[in-house]
Amino acid sequence: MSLVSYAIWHYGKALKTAWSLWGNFIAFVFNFFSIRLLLKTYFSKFGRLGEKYRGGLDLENLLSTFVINTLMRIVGVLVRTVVILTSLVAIILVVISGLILYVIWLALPLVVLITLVYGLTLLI
Amino acid sequence: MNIRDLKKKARYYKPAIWTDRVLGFKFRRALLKTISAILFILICYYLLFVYPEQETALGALLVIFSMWAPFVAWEMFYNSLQTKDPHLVGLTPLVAKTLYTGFSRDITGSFLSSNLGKEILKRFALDAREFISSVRVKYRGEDVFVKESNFVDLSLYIGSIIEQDTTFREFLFAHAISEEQVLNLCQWLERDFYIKLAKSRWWTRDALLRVPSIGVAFAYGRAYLLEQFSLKVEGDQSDILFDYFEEELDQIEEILIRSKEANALVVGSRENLHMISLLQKKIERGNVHPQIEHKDLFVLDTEELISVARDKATFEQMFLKILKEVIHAGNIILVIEDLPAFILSAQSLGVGIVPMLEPYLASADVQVVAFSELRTYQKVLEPNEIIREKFEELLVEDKEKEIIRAITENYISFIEKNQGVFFEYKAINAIVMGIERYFVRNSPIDEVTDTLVDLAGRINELGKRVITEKDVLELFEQKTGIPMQEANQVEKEKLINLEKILHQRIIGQNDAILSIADTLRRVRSGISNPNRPMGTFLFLGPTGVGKTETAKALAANFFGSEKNIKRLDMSEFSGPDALERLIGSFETGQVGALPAMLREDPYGVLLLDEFEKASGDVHDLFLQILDEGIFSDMRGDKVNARNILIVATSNAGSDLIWQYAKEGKDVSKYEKEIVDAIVEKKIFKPELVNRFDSVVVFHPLAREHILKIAEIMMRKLSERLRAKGVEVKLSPEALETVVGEGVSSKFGARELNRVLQDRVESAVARMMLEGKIKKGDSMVLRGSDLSS
Repeated sequence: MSLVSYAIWHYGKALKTAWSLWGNFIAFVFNFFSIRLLLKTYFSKFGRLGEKYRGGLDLENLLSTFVINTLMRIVGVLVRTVVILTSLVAIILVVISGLILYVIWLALPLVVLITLVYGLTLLI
Repeated sequence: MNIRDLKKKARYYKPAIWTDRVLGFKFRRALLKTISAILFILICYYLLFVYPEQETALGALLVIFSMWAPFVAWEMFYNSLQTKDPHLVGLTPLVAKTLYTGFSRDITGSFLSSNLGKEILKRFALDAREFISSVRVKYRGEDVFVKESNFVDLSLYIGSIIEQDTTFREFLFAHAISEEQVLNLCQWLERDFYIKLAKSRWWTRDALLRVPSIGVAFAYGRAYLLEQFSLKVEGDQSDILFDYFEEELDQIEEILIRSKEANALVVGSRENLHMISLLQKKIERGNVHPQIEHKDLFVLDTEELISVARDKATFEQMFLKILKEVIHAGNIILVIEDLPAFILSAQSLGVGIVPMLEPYLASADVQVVAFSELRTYQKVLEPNEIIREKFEELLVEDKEKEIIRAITENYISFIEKNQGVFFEYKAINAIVMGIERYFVRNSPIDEVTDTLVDLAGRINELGKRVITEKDVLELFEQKTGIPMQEANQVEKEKLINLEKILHQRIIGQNDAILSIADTLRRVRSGISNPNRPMGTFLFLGPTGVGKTETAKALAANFFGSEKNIKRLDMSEFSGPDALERLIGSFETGQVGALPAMLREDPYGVLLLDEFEKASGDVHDLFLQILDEGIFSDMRGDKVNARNILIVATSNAGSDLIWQYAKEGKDVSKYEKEIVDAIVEKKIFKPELVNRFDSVVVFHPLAREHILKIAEIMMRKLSERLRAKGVEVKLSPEALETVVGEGVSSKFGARELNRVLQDRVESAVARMMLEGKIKKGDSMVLRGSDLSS
C-alpha cells in the first residue's frame, strides 16, 4: 500500500516538485551572486569608492579626480565581470546537474538495481 | 463527522506513520547522515587515490549508493507527506499519528498512550496509567464526533474528546487542569512541530534566499561613521512573530518604496521594535519591492552619538556626515528607536534635529523608520508640522500579551533542546503571567530569555531536569520580593483572621474592616484580576476616624511591615503642574514622585491622602491606574502598579456622614447616598469612584470607641515609660479628661495621641522632679494629677 503511494508520488508530484526545486537553486545562484544588481550597476564605481569633483577650474584636481573615478569604474567592471562569469558557470552547473538528476530520478528503480547488482559482482 | 471517518482521511499520512513506527525519526536522520558520509568518503577515495582497475572500491561505492539513493528518495516522500497543506488533507499529521496509535475501542486511552498524549501528560506532571486501565465508559471511534469536518487540528481533535468523554473531563478537573490549558498546549505542540519542520527544509526558496549575496558589496558603499554609531540589524531567525506584525510590515514596505518622503513613524508600545528585525528578514527573503531589495537596516545609537559629540558643532558635523554616508552607501535604511528622546536629548546640546533632518527626509535618497511611544508622540511629535509632513504615521495596537506567549513557547523549545531541561505546562503559564504582571518595563523578549536562561541554569545546578511552576514562582519571588507561592499555613490563618488582627489596631469601623478583609482574601487566593492593582479602596470619612491607621495596619499585617507603605499627600498635586510632578516631566527630564516610588519598591500599600484635593489630570491618570494597574511615565516607559494595594482617603462627604451619625443612623448603610452627594458636588467623577474595588465609609467615632482608642494609646505610652523604670496607669476619670481634650468634631481622634503624650508625660516628669515618684514605682494618675 505504502509502496503504491510512493510510486504514484515518485512519478507524479515528485517530478513536479523537482522543477520547482530546480527553480529554487537557480534563484539561489542569481541571488547569491546578485546578478541583476551587478548588471544594473555594471559601470558604477567599485564599492562606490571615488572622489567628488570640487567646483572651480583646478585642472590638476579635475584630472586626478577623473583618473581616480575612471580607475574605480574599471576595477568595478573587472570584478563584476569575474563574478558574473563565475555565476554563469554556476548556473550551467546547476542546469546540467539538474538534468542529470532528473534522468536518474526517472530511472531510479533501474539505477538502484543496476548499481547494486554491478557493485556486488565487482565486490565478489 | 466521527473519528472513524476522520481516520479514513488520515490514510494519506499512513506511509509516514508506518515509516516512523519501523524506524524512529531521529534514528533515521542519524543513519542517513552516516551512510551519506561513507558514500562521500568513498567517492573522494575513488576519485583521488584509486586507479579505475581497483574494482573493490568501485563495487563498495555502487553498493552503498544503491542503499543511499532509495533511502533519500523515501525520506523525500516522507517529507512531502508531512508538508502537504493539511487543509487539503483535512487533518494535520499529528492528529493522524494519534489516530493510528493504540486501539480504536478506547479513543481516550489510545490517545493518552500515544507519544503525543504521553508528552501532554508529562507537561502536566500527570500519571494517567491508573486512569487508562480503570473501569470507565470507553468511547469508540464512531462514538466521538468532531465539530468541524473540513479541517481537524490537534486542539480540535482533543477538544472533541474532552467534550464527550465525561470521565476524562472529570479526571482533568480533579487535577486542576482546564480544557483551555490542554488546548493551548496542543496548539503549541502543533506550532512547534511545523516550526521544526520548516527549519529542517533547507532547500526551500525561502531558506536558500536567506544566504547573503556577495555582489552587494561591490555595488554599494560603506558608511564608516554610521557603522561606529549604530547596530546593523540581523534578520529575525524564527518565524513566530511574523504573523503578529504581517500587516504592519506590509504597510511599512509601502511607505519605504515611495519616490520621496519614504519615512515611516511607528507609534505604539515597545513591542513594535521587534518589527526591525522582522523587516530585515523580510528584505533578506527577497519577497519585497525592488526599491528596498538588498537594503540593510541600521539602528542609530542616538545616546552614544550625543555623548561622544558633546557639543553642538561636533554633533551637527557628525550627524550630517552620517546622513551623507547613508546617501552615499545607497542601501541603508536608518532606524531611530525612540525619535522623541533623540529630539529632546539633541535639544539639550542646542541642536534642532528636525530642521536638520528635514531636507534628507524629503529626498528620495534617505529612508528612515522611526519609533515612538504614544504619549511622547502626542507630546513631542504630533505638534511638529515637519514630522507630520515628512513621516507617514502608523499607529500599532498593543500586542504584548500574545507576543510574550509566542516568544516564551518558541524559546522554551530551544532551551529544552540545548540545556536538556523540561518545562511543565504550569511553569510555562507562570512565566507568561509573571512577565506580563511583574516585568513591564523592559522588552518582553529580553525578559523571557533572561528568565528562561536563569531557570535552566538553576535547575541544572540543582541536578534536576524538570522545571515546575514552583521553580518559576521562586525565581520571580526572588527577583521582585513579592510573595507569589500559595499562601502558607501561617499566612492562611492570618487571612482568615484578618478582621481580628486589624481590629487590634482599628477600633470600630466593622463594615470597613470586613470589606477590606474580603478583598484581600480574594487577592491572595488568586481569583482576582491579575491585570489590575491587587486591591483598590476609597476610604471616606471625617478626619481622625482611622482611615490612615487602617492603611498602616494593612501594610504591617499584609506586607510585613509598616514601612511598606508609600504615602503621597495628594494636596501637593493640585496645581497646574500636578501631573508632571506626579509622573515626571518630559522636557526637564525630572522623574515623577509616583514612578520613582513604585520602581524602587513595586510592592506594598500606596496611600493617597486627601485624594479629593488632587487635580483633574491626576484623577484621570488614576482612572487608568485603577483599571489597568499600569501607566506610562514621562518618557513613555511603563510603570507597574499591579502589585500594590491602593488606598485613597478623602474626607469628602464628611458633612453628610456627620449628619447621618447625629441622626443615629448606621453610615455604612448610606454609602450610596454619600457617594452620590460627592459626585454631585463634582469632587470625584462617577467613573473614578466606580473604578475602586470598594468604597468604604468610616463612621465618626462614638465616645466608647474613643475611650478604647485612648486605652490602646495609653497602653503603648506606659510601655515606653516602663522602659524608663516607671509604671503608670490612668484612672478612668483621668482617661475621660484626656479624651475630652483630645477629641474634636473637626479632627476626630487625631489630636488624642498628642494630648495624651503631652499631659501624661509632663505630669510624670513633674512628679519625678517633685520627688513624688521614683524609678521602680508604679502609680495610677488621677484627673487632678493631669491638670497643669
